[in-house]
Amino acid sequence: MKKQTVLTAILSLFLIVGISNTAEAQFGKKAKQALGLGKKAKNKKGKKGGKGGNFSSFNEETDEMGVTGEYFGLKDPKAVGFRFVKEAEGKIVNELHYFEKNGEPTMKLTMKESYYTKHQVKMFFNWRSASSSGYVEMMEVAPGVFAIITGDRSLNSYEDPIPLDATRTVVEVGAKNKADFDTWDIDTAQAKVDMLLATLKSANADKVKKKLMRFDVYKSYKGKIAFAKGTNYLRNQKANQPTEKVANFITKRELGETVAFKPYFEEPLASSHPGAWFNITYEMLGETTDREKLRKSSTKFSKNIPQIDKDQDKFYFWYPKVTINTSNNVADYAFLELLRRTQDKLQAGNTYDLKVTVWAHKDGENIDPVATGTIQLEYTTDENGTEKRLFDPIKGWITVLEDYLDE
Amino acid sequence: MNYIKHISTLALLLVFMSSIGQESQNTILSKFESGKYSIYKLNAKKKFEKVKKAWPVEINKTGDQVTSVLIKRAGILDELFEADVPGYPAYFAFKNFRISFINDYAVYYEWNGKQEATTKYILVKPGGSFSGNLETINKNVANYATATFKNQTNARANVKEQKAELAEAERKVNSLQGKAVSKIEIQLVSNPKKVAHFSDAIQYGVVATLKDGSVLKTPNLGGKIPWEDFTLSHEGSSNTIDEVRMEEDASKVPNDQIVLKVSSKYHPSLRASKNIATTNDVSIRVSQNGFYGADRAKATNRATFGASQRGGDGDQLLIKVKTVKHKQTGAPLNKIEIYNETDRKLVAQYKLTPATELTINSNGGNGQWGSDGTSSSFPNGDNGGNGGNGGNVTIIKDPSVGTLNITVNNKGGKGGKGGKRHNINGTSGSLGATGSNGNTNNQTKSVSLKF
Repeated sequence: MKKQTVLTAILSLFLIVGISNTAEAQFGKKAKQALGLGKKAKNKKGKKGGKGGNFSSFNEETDEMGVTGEYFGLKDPKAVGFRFVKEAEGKIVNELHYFEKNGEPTMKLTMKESYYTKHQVKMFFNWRSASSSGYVEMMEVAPGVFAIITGDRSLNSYEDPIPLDATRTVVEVGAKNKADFDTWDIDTAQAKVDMLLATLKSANADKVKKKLMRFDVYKSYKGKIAFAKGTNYLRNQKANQPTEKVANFITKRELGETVAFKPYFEEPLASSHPGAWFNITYEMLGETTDREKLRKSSTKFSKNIPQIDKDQDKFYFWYPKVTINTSNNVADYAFLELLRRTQDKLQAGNTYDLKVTVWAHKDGENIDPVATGTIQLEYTTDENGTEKRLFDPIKGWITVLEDYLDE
Repeated sequence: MNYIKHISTLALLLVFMSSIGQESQNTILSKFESGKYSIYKLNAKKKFEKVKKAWPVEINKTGDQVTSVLIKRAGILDELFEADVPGYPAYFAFKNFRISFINDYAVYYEWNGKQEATTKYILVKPGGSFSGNLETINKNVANYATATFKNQTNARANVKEQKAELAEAERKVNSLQGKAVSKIEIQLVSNPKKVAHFSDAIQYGVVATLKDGSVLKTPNLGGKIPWEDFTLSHEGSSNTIDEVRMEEDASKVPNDQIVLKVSSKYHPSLRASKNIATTNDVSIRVSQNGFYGADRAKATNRATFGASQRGGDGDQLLIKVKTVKHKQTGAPLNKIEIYNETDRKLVAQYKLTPATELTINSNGGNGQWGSDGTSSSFPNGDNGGNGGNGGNVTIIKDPSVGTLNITVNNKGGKGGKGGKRHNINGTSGSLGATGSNGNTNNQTKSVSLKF
């Protein structure tokens, strides 16, 4: 009996030590991990992280941002120090110095000045390395409360934080007053960060649109769809720089040949229709096919018509779409289905209007069109023309679709 | 007896669940009131745990209908959730988040296009209770939402009808339908610098003058007349709304001009047209090159074995040229017909000014690179494939032709690089041979063209 009591006591002691070590999910450690500094701490398993410094004297300092002071973490209650530094060596630096020990700062974060001057958002960032794990950001969510944030993007420039459309995750909350943790948990801090980002994004969208209006293609095609003979004519290298040439766009094409298209939007779907995604319909000769409806109609269409749930935050599709692409034998099954349904009405020598509409789509409904365009498709009469492309007994687009649906 | 009791309970539960599934949020929310709601959030172990602070929830109604729900997250952040379909809501939405009220509580969740819910919080009404696990809550709310979507047919139809009514009212205000119109005219958005095969699109709009002197315009001219008001029947160009491009095939531009033609659907006697003479001065490049060796199987539709494939030959082309007068300006124009003798098909029919450059490419394709040696059993690199031969190009000029700005490229394709040896026991492959250049044969004789 005695033996059992002693064993239980030892086990309990182990458990307590174990728990206290695990619960040592420190505020500082989180920031360190975000900076890639956490390896040492990980290797020293079993040793406590230490009590850290005492930064209560920071609370007596004042700065124009009102952020300097002693902070405690929600997960790691250890005290850390924040000090806003406006000037250094005669230069304006606007930095937030973060201290885990008295003395030199553990890291120096740069303020994104325009967010503060234009929107009063206090955000500081630091790139420890070029990878996404080397990035850390601190954003004030309430006076005396900061969200510590990691991001999913790697370095573009040391001078800039990750872009606004990156995914930001709040990993810790730091507060001067521990009582604030009753209100500010991780989720609430994340919600506030998302709200602040929404403000910044909306202002950024106006700025981006202003820049886009410098490009002829966006100016002429917003709300419309541009067509081209291949996706290469519609691609561009940099975000929000649509350098594609309007001269390469087409309004007529041989039926059965490659047609690439790209919609340009008045505003990103995420702001015009939050929570919606894209859908595309094709109309020709009185028939309409709808990607989302087809997706829900059979497993075969479901498998071959993926949902378009990207680019909601963009002013145009990053990757152009195709009705048919003969160079890699890819086609939109919704367009092929349109051809299959209209095949009896198609006649050699005639030209047909194909109307393409990109919709904001939610809960099984096309809510509003966000871009439309029409291209003429000519049923050519040559030996290797439309007839062969659509009805070749082995490789014709309609033949292939019919064979697949009949399987 | 107990068994029967269980069955009846299950049946009752199913009836209850299906009745929940058919109820809109308006009905369910009749049992809810604004107040401070207890919050359960997911912890790291994916279990719900109660949050210390209750969140204020305001339910906003117009008559019997709930229009929105304001949630003050943690008592400090306002999130206004609005009904998805007014009249028969299945959920209330705020950005990418949704809430649906079920039983004694509201589920606060994210929704994806695959009809799946990911619950973030549970908001329990004052005096209500909650016990449940994440998986069941996710399933229940998804089932509720999808079942309610099916019942939204009438409400959605009403919304659509209202939207359609608004759109129709706007169309009528802006349309020429029922208005006294004296004339319609075509106006170019800007004067095109070049009107030629492959030139930029010409943008145009329609201006209608009403009998009272007021002027209406199509959207691209700053007005709001719907394009559906007009029938388009352009000639020499694509017949597309608000922008046109000259036909690529010169046989479809017989009079060397584009004719934009528009008529009013509601006033058929009102017609407008605009003639735009072509300038035929955009340089054109026609490529009928041989394929790259590695693409041999795809190009010939025949299986190939191993690397070292020879590049395809450039096609043999016959180019006929005749000079005529521009039918509108009288300036000389070269009529050019390009026939591919290899494929036995007409490639192009163009009209170009004598100074405009036409480039013909009929180069041989490059040979495929040889594979490298792979192991001590196969140490040798393959030889590179030979380049294809350039195509022969015959240019027949009619005696009428004075100047023709044509460049022919019909070089042999380069040989593919030999594969590297694997080790010292192997040998590297040799460079494939370059294909021979094609011949360019110029003739002058009377030419008859098909256009």
